[in-house]
Amino acid sequence: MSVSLGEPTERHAGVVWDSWDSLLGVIPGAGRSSLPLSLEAALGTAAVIVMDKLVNASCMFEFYKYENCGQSTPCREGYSDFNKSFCCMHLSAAFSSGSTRGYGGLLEDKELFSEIEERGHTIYGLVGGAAWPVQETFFIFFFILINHLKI
Amino acid sequence: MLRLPTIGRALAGAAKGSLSPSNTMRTPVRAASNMVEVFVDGKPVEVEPGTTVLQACEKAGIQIPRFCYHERLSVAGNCRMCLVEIEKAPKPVAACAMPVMKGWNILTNSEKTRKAREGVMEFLLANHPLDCPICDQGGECDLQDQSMQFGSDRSRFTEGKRAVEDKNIGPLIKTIMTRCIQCTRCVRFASEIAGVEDLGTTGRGNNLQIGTYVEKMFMSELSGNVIDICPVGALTSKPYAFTSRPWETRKTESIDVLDAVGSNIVLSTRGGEVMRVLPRLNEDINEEWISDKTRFAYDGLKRQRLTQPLVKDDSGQLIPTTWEDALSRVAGALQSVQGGEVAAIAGGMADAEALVSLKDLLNRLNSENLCTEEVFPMSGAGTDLRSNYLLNSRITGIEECDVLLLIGTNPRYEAPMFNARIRKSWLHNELRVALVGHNVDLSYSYDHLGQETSVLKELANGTHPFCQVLSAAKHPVVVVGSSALQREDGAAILSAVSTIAQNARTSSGVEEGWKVLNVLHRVASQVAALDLGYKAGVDAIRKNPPKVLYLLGADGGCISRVDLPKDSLIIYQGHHGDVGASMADIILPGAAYTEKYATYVNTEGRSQHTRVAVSPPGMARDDWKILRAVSELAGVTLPYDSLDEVRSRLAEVSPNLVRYDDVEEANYFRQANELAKAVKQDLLAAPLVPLQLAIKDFYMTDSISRASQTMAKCVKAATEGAAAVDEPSVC
Repeated sequence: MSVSLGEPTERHAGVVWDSWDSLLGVIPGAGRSSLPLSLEAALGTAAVIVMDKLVNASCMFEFYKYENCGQSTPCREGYSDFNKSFCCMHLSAAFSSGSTRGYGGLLEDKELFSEIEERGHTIYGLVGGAAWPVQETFFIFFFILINHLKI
Repeated sequence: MLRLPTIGRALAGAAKGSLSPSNTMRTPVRAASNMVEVFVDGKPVEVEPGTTVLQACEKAGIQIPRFCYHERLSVAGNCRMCLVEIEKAPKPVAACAMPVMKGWNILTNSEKTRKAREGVMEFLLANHPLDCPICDQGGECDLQDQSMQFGSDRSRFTEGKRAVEDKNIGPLIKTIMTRCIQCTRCVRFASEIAGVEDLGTTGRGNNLQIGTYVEKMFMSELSGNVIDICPVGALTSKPYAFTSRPWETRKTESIDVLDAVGSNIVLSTRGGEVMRVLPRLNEDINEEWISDKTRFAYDGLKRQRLTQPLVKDDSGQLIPTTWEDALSRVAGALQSVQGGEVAAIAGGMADAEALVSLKDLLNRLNSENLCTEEVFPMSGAGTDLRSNYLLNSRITGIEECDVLLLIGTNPRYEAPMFNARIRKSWLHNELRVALVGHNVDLSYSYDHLGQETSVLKELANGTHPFCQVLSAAKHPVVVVGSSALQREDGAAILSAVSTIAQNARTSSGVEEGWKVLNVLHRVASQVAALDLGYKAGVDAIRKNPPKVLYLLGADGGCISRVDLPKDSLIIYQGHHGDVGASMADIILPGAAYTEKYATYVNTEGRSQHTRVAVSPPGMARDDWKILRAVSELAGVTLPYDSLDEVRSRLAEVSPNLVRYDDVEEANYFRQANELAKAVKQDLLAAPLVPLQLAIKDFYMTDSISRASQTMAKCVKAATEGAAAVDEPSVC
């Protein structure tokens, strides 16, 4: 405890590919990447996700959907919502000209996502744990997503 | 078969609190000083420690919306509809799973709470089909009601919906799994209340599905209850499908007579037809469940009915006739013979009013030959002492006892609600059950002491090892099934059981008021008939064959033409063309239990009455009125003209019969035991095997359920598999 996030990352995950510059982001158990590791930072899962710039940040949605057990409503329905929204985004990217969603749709989704955390309170806290990173991804890496979707 | 539901435990543990909410039902009432004070919307409420937020709100008179929570099932906490804000807490909590802490202020209608509910509602509706207009749950759907009350007023939904394949789980329950909201109430009901592990979930995430794993029938005698507990239209009644809407039907509170438990029911009727049967809450009898026979045998009320009087002509054909003709023939027959040459047999669904009328009629004709079909040993104290033939401990007594000895019975199919109570006590109170009789699946584990009658002998004289368990028990209960007493050595069995019960009473040193000996009856009329002084069993009639035999709904087939002289006349009064009617010379159409105000006494000795939900079909009439008319024509007019007068006659004979919903206690166990010891009869070597062993034997046991197509389908599905039953394509 009370170590900086970089230390265990470097020790266990090896040096980040090439240099620290290629680091895209780190997701501790369920929290925000700027906090030092501690129980208060919700490191209950003892899992740290390290992503470099080769990673497609939108895969995170797939990952969390896969992790979801399906017992509680916000988790079960919420993650499929995430993914369906993303499918829609992909679709709308394909038909971007004259699409009903497009960039505007993405902004709508952004609004939706910002609400997801307060809606999600589940048995195992997956929504709480996943909504934050997804939200953060959305806000911090908004440009990456837009780039990815080529909107 | 796990005693404690693992799912409930795991989930309760996962909720932050350390106290398992499923423990609350067992937590003894603590001193008032131990009470925790919480606030519900600022209003103070005193609750016991360990009470959940939802229960505390309930105590304050505020209903929290919920889907997965059910007070008789373990807490799953997965629908999240019950989220409420706690003042100063960062996140809303699931009210059903969270135990209250001192001083909490629960905000049930705050902005945050409402937003949380609205969000959950939106999630639930995201994958719920919009087929309310063709859904049988419409009008009584929790999802419909709560989305109106708590849901958002507009949609943000643009995606497609998930679809799930429907499952065939038998001829009773229709599944439309796309409507399922994965609350798992049905899964918990099956594993906790019904005691079958047939239902479960498969898949993860959004692919989570409820089902039977492999395609099979949901094999439980209580399966219909999942229809009631399903908060949406995923599990609905197959026989009731697309027949009526809840707001079209008239509801009549009544009781069930297809077994001796007397479950409380509500009859939904429309246009003179029973559309369906629902359970009615009675904590002392059936809680809020009913058995499948009670729920689904109602279509038997519309088939094989006797709708007009019939008499046999010279060629032996039954010809429809008028009431005048039939009644005068009956009266003529009764007048033409000596008193001793008339006899009557009462069947399993005869009501007390008809029973007392028939008894008075025959008594006035100087006949005492009144029997019930169901046998009960008449030697020893016989039926003179009421405690001999009642379920004295009552159904609720099972929850207080710690050792239960079942003898020669299969309560699971003879009295499913009684068995559900045993299972409840086994699950929550560590009840130890032992069985003497055929080794059957009772849905809980028990000590099988053997099926030989020699076991009874050993238990009675104290040499059996189980006697030590009985004597160590604090509150022992011994239950003998009336099916065991149908045997030729019934008196010896009852005598042995009486001794076992008396020994258990003395060796366990239980307090004076505790009842040990119990008889579990199988038919609804028996206790009332014995209370009114009927002889149990038709032995007397076999030994002394009458010239005129009056069958009051006797369809058990305990007597046939060959037992009677050639020129004897058989009169059948009842509602179904079944075993009794097929051998009768004159048939008088009576009313079924849904068509009359009638008194029935259940196996505990609890008097209850049915109500008129529909009128009797065709020319059929109330049973006691038919008997009253016969008496007038026979010149021995019965002194009652109205139902009230019949009931005051009932009160004259046995006052407990009209004290409705009251159980008259019976006593004199010791004296009964002393008299039983005088019985000089030996136990036969034949093993104790009840008639209903497996679920296929459960569905068709009386004239109503034998006439029911639904029950016939159940038998077929139980023997050949659910796929063997053809269903109309509309289902």
